[in-house]
Amino acid sequence: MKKYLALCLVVLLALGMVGIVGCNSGDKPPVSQEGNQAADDSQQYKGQKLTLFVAAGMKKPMDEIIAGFQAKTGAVVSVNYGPSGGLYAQIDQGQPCDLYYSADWIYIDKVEQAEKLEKSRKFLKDNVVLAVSDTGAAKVNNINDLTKPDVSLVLADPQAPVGVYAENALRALKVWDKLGDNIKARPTTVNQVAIMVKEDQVDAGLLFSSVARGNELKVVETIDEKDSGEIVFGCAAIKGGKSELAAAFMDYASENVNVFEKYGWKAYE
Amino acid sequence: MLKVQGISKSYNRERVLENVSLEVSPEIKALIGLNGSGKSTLLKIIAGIVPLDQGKVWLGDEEVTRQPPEKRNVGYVPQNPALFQHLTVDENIRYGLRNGRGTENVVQEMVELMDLKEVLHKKPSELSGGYKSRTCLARALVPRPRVMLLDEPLNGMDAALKEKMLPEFRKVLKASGIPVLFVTHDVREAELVADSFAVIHDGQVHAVGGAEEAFHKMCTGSLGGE
Amino acid sequence: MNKAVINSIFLPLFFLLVVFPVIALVINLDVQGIQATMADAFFWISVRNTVIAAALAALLGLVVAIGFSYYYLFYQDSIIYRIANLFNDLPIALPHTVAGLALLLAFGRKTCGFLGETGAAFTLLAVVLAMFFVSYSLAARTLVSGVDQMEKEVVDVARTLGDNTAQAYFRVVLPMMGEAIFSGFILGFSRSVSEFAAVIMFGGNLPGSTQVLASYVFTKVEVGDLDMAVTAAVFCVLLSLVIVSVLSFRRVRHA
Repeated sequence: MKKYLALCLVVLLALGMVGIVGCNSGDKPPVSQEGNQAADDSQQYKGQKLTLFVAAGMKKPMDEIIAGFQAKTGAVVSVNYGPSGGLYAQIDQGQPCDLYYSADWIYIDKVEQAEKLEKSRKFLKDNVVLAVSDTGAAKVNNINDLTKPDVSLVLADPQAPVGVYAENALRALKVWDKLGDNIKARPTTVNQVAIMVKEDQVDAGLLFSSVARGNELKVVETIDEKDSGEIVFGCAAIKGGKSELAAAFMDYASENVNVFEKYGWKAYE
Repeated sequence: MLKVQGISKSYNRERVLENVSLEVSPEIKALIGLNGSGKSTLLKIIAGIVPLDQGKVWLGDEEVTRQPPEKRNVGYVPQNPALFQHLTVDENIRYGLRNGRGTENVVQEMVELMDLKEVLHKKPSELSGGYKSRTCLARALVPRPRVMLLDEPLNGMDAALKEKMLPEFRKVLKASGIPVLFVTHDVREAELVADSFAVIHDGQVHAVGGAEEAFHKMCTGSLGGE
Repeated sequence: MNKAVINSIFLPLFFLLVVFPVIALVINLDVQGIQATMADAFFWISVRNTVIAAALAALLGLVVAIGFSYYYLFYQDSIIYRIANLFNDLPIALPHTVAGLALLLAFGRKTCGFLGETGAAFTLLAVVLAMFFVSYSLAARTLVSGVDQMEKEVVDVARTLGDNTAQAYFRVVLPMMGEAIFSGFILGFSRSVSEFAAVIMFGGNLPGSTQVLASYVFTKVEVGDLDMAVTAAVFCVLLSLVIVSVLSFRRVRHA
């Protein structure tokens, strides 16, 4: 009897795990469909599933795009939001993905080098901006003010693309070596940078214009792309995935780039 | 003089002691009862370790009902020796000195009396049952307490050892000249050590004449003509 | 039911889910990665910072836990204990970034501006506090468990010999809880070493001063220096193994 019970337990455990794996690789219920009048009757991709990886910074506009796309085509989109680098690592390890949106074109290049690229497109442009907190507004008006003593600055760690661009900008503008110990923190995501500035825990922060606008931060200077590097958000359809469906989504997003502009990005021309 | 009056105590709505009154003059009184009769609880209440629900406790002329245990100056020997494992026998015995209780002379006296010279430097884990009990008794007597409370101090010893230790205990306790309340379920033990007897049954205490009567009352709970 | 049945269930699960991932790490070690990591000053600084901060956090956790179990032993009916008990397990229930944010708001420059430009935040002290915050509960639980397993008569006797509750606690209870105290420290230390979200948010994650080992590994993964990440990760594993071995060794000695 006890043997039987133990066997049942193991089988249950195994089934449970299979169930969890099955659930994860799939089916999020479709995002709500309000707000899209352009519902096309064609529903040409009805029932098909698109696996989408998107850099976390693009969540708000992307949620709207996904809702619209699902309503228009009848497809079901399963989206995975995460850091650009982490998402790339997953793709590189063979996680199934049809379409990948990255906050840094460098990862699209990596997809190509890994020979997993089907089709790519440069999608949005962004800038690094210098934002200040309530206390910082009195001390910092431009990049050079960052070298003043008693100024506290935050930028992201290199694992977030914005951290790399911010550091590039500071070096190009010959400010990096004069900062002394003014850099107080280098958290791992751009959102943490925004929180620290917003909560007035530091005087200033370097982050993407889109994120700064999203958090209603006061921006005192916009960094030219010649100093930070061209910041291109791009997308890549992954080889071996559903290329037709991915292409359809890419086109849909590009047609609706105004949604992104609403959140602070610029379309890539 | 030890006196308790009207002690009642309940644990989780279960009555453990019911209106217990008892007096112990400078003598050894055995309180005989089966396990679960409330005898250990009574000792703990007198020592101040467990709070009572109703009743009063006197040590000498002083009412100590509200006093915390560290102020009462009672000697307590619990059921298992409860020696301080991280201290040597010597350090155990002189523990009371840290709080200004007892003197160096008394320590020496106890060591002599209980024949503990050989084991002073040893740790409790290295001792046999007999030495453990003796150390425990010595430790309780050093601070010159007003009253001694012993809860089956020879629990777990074989009969031969008990026969040897009991007269020793009696001798030491009588020499101290203070009231001693000695709790046990073993009537034979009580016979060997005590001057007077009482029985505790179902939370109630009754005085009895001798050991035989005690045994009978303990087992049957019959009150007879009290 | 016999031993063979238990073996056939336990062993595969254990090796697959616990041992194999560690082996996978070690197999992926790369000589260049090892060389690069060993040569990276930031790696060694993060190791040093992590070990020092975790030790301090564990010590602080012990001190507070010792206080908590005093109330647990003697004053369970008091308000102090009830409030403390309520909050005791809260830090563990909080998502780590939330914990970090809470600490930042509590001790950042808006409240602790007098301590410095950024208050207590973004300093090694902040790293210690963040680690303490997430590991304290473990130390408290361990000590409480130690108190439970102790024979209470010993405390009773000490009190009849004249000790008040505090004296009895320090002279008799704590010395007898050596094992629990040691375990509490080790658990606190291990938990602190593996913490990073709260530490990043409140500590600042600055390479060369407030970056801890766990974050170092994570950054290396994200920027694609997988070889270095693996080396650092294996180093973490070795550090944990050393800690666990010390713990087992002491347990055996006291058995």
